[in-house]
Amino acid sequence: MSGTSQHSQLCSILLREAYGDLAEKVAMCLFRFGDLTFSQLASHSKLKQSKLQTVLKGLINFGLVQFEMGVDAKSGTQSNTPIYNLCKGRVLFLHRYIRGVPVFIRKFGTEGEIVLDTLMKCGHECASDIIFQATVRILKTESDQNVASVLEQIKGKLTELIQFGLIERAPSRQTETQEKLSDFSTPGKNYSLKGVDLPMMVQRISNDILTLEDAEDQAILWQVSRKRVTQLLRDEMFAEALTGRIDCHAGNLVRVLLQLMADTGPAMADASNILHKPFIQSAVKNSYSGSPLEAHLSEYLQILSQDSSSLVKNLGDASGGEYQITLKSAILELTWSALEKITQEQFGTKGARIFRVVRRHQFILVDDIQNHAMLPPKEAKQILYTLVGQNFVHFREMKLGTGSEAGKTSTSYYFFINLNQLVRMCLEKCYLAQFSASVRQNDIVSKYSHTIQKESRLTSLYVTLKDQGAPQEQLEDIAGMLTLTEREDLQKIGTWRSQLNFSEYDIDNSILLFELYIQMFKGKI
Amino acid sequence: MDTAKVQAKILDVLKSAPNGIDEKARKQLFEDCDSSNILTVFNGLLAQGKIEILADEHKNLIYKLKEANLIPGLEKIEDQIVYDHIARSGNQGIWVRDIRTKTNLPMHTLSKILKQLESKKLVKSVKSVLAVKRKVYMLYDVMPDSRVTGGTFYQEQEFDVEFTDLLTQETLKCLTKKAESVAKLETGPLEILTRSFVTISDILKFICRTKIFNVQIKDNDIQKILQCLSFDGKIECSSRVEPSGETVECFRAVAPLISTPSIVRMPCGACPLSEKCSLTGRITPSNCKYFTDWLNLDSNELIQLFFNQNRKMSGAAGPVGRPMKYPYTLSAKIAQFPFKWHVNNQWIWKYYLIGVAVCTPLFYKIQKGANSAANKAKWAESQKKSGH
Ligand code: SF4
Repeated sequence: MSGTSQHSQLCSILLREAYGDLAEKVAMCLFRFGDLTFSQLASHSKLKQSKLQTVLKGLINFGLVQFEMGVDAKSGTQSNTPIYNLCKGRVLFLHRYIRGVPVFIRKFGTEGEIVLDTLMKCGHECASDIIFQATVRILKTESDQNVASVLEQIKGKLTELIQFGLIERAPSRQTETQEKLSDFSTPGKNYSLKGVDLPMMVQRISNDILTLEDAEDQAILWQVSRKRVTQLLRDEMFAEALTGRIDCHAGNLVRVLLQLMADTGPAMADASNILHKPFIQSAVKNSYSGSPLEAHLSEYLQILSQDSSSLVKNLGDASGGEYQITLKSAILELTWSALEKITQEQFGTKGARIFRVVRRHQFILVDDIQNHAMLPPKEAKQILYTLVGQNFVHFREMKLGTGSEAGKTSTSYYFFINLNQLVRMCLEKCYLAQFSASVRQNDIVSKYSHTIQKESRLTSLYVTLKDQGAPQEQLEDIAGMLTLTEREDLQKIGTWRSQLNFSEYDIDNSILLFELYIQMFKGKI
Repeated sequence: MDTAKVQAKILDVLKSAPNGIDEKARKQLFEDCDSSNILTVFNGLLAQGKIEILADEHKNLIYKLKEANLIPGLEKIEDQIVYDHIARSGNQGIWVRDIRTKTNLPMHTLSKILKQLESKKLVKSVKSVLAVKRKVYMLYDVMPDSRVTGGTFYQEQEFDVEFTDLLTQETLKCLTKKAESVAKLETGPLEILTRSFVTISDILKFICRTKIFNVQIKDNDIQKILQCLSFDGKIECSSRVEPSGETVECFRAVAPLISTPSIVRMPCGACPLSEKCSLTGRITPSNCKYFTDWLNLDSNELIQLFFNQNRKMSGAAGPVGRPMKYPYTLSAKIAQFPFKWHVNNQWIWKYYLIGVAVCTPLFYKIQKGANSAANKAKWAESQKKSGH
């Protein structure tokens, strides 16, 4: 998908906030002009070559920019000029990652989340460095822990995350060493980290040396897998939907089924391979042993296969039951459901009813809409035209011959929903919403910058004086320097910022759904 | 035989032969009369519209009395023709423009005839729900079709919103009550699901028990309401086989797949101005009023709002629907108009009060001074001096 203005605005503001002005400038050049060579990039960004090099290095480190060797136009062979391009999905990935944090903690514990966070902060890194930095972070808060055991634990978590696929191999800094170290490379179910020297790390931490140099595996880099995070959040989205529709056990069954789909074939296929009931049964037993889900598995499978969510399809009764995950139809259903709710929020219950009537009938005349929606004709028309005005419903003019007189035609207007167009419109609205929340937040910060700065100055002064053992009176005086209005303002700013932050990440849920729809029904986003 | 007698005889004969008489029978009956005279009389009757000539399958002419002639009081041929067309339209009725096209009568004549027919209580006009401001005519004693009157959901040809809403609420209540009561059962999930379905007759019984409605509600009406609820995404339909072997449709309340998509949890998702919103210009995120209102919502209030919304969506209790964020009907606009804000922010209200507060003591003083005993005496004196 070529970037729309909303998308570009959002990318620009996110890049500026997370990686600074220069990074934003270079990345947005790539966003606007597409693939560029180094010299083209230098001329577009108007940066000095040395500076551009540093910026590009940083962007490549974080996986935001990729490069490949260009092709010589004359000879048709590979040239030595790298061509850079921006990975647009990776720019918005930060929001998706943050939204996934509660899921990571639930699945891999706090240590697992710290490993992922450490890796997110540095873009890509070798296993030794990840383990070392994560351990240092944990020891900072829990200094009484045994260093060796923490290192062992973190290594175990890293292995688990690699096996789960949340951490994947990143392109190596030196291509030639990649070949030599191929025995480290292919992660599989029984993958173990070679080249990680834990005793050396214990020694360094005991000697208070908090950096690692010349790790044996430094050429093998790892990064957080965008694909796997997206897939995990997609599974959660389905599980939540079915939890709301049926109950939590149905939600858990969906988690198991989607995991089985990923284990037995491509995770993003239109439909999964056939899953036999005994296979599902053993997977449920592994994850939810002793729960009502295990006891009533057949019933839950039947309910899911009859549900209008269209996620599970019963293919037959061979081997106790054959089931298939029909991801494409489920995404379609979920998208419709989301769009109906959006219509309900914007146009009220009656608007949503008309929207559903049009959806159900595909092509429908205004009189029939009135009839089915059970609304007074005038009101139905008014709402329908508002829906048309906001591009939720579309119409087509049809000229039909009357039959009575030659050449005489009557015009009818058939109403319908252009789903692809509507999804794209809503996706753009999501980008706009994230952008607006970000702008508003910056606006709040700049408007109250004086108060925020004053508070941080006073806090640091308070801490310093307290450390120096200043008398209570003096401390109270400092605390009193913040007026009542300023205190109220600070409280207000805190609430506003957390509300805006939360919404910014929360919207990613809708973005994920719409992107999945576009991916499934229209090829690449 | 003179013409009047021939005419009377013809009409008598035709009255006694409802299927009409053919050419042969006519000749036999009027053997004794002058044939040219007979033909003149027949032509006269034909022109008056009292009789009609038809052809049977062997192309023989059949003379028949026109049915409208049986209606007393319709003398003129135009009246009969109009009456005929109205009678033929049955319980669907006929629009005045269609009568005009079919009869080719001028509008004012047609209106006069229709008025006359109405005053004689031979026909009646009925407002059709199919098109506003369109009246259809049908015979006086014909019951209009439900497509014309709209059926149970229409009262005096107007859609009865209150009745429909109430019936929808009660139907949904029946379904949710059933779902809630079976959810408490300690059985397997499939059993709970199966037992949460109700049939149309169950719903009818429930509605009868409530005794809210004083009109008779039929299966068809409930079916329409259920269809409407399914359009609202609140119920789903299935079918089951009864012990009698008959397959019946059954329904149950369902929760939506997505309760509130994250995009509409903030104002931009449902913003009608999003296309005009950018970093520059009149509408920007920094000065957005929707944002300000949303940020100033008390977080407890926000939680309450979501909670209520979810409860309504799951159809547990409370009225169906919720106020729209951006109202477009006049009454909704009035209901949601920020009166309080305008009172607080318009200068006139404040200064009006200040003005009253300042002026009251002043006027009081003037009034008191003017009506004091001394002043009155002074006034009387000055009046006296001027000789009044
Ligand atoms: S910032 Fe305000 S005006 Fe702009 S899209 Fe969001 S709600 Fe609408």
